[in-house]
Amino acid sequence: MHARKALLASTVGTALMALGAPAMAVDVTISGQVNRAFMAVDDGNKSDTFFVDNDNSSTRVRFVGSADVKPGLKAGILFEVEFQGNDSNLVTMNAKDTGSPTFGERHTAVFLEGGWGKVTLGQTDGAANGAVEVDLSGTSVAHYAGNTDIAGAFRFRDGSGALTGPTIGASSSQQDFESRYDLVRYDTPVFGGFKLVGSFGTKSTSTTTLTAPAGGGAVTTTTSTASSDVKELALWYSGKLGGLGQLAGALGYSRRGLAAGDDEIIGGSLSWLHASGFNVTLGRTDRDDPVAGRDKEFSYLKLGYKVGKHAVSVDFGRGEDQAAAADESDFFGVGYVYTPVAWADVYGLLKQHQLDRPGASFDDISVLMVGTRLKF
Amino acid sequence: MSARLVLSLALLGAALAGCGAAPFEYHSQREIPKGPGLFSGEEGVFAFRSGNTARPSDERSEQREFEEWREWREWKKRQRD
Repeated sequence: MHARKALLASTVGTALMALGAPAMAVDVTISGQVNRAFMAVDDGNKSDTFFVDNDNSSTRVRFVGSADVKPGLKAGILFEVEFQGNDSNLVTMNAKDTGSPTFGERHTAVFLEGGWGKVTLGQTDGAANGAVEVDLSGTSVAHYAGNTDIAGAFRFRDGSGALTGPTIGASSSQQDFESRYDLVRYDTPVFGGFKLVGSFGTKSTSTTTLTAPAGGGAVTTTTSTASSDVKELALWYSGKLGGLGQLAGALGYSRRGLAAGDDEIIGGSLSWLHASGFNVTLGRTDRDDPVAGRDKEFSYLKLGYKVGKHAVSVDFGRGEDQAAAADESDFFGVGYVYTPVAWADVYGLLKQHQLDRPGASFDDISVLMVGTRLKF
Repeated sequence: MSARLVLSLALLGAALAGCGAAPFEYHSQREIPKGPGLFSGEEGVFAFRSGNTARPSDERSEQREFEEWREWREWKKRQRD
């Protein structure tokens, strides 16, 4: 993997040098945020409190640099890492502390941009990453289609109180295509608010399992990695509709080659923010999972109201056939975000997750979260 | 369901293209927010710029700084005289 990245970087570097012209202008910016929260979880048998880094919008630092290679052609880099202590999507009743945080790669990419569009090379968002998460409600830092970013590692307990059920993450994933991976990506210029994006690359998935001994003691971590080729295509839209407010949406498709067959996802989202502040967001994905041997579905609806420094919303989502055939995993939430100054968000979230499985009974999981995100 | 979704969104796209909505850049609220930062001030980023990307305000402040230095030099000279 590192050899391939080095090859890509040297190829692009050589291409940039071959362009010959000295940089006429250089622009480098550094920005970042810290997002910490208090979380309380009740799984029907046990309740506990946690101090987490909100995975909806994790603590991170971003470097962006660009320079004019020649008039009409710009080259640049994007480097972004996250640094999460107690990820809100990884803590569990048995693992309140996920260990010392380390820097996690989000974006390490170079790009060339001109009137013809933009080509990006390196690790960054796949073409369809975020296509089911387009959201104009102003409450995404508290809750959005990716419901598993908060308390996603918690398991449903069965009627006897045993942790035999699947995790929230396995039962109601928004199936947002293939996220970030090593790729080459092309973005067309924007035409009337529309932009077509395609990407091709290799995705390595690291699966980290945290194991907490029943009798207490240190949490052990095991990690396994697998790679596969990924292709994605997406159509993105954002436009102002005059007195009707703003509309944004995306339609995406991804295909990942696995030994068992192609893992395909199709879906998208649409979000409308009316000039009055009322907003509605819809999302939907269908996944053909060759490993599980069945189709997995996800549906999402959010209704909200945004006025001044306040935004509030309620949402409902359902994952179908995800952890097992005939599963229906619903979640309901209410979120509020207060933005007293432009660089601070204070938010609260109440959410309940349910799992219906024929022939089985599981307790609901309730989540409360209060936190703040400060941009520095 | 997928076919209906694709068809619905395609029809919506065609309608939007036809009604001439003005484009805007969508910025996910899950990314680092745009706008001012706690330490980075109004611009919201720590910026390092060179070449012809200097903004007019930067150029004005450099000019102002030069003029202030020149006035100070004149004042200093008068003090000596």
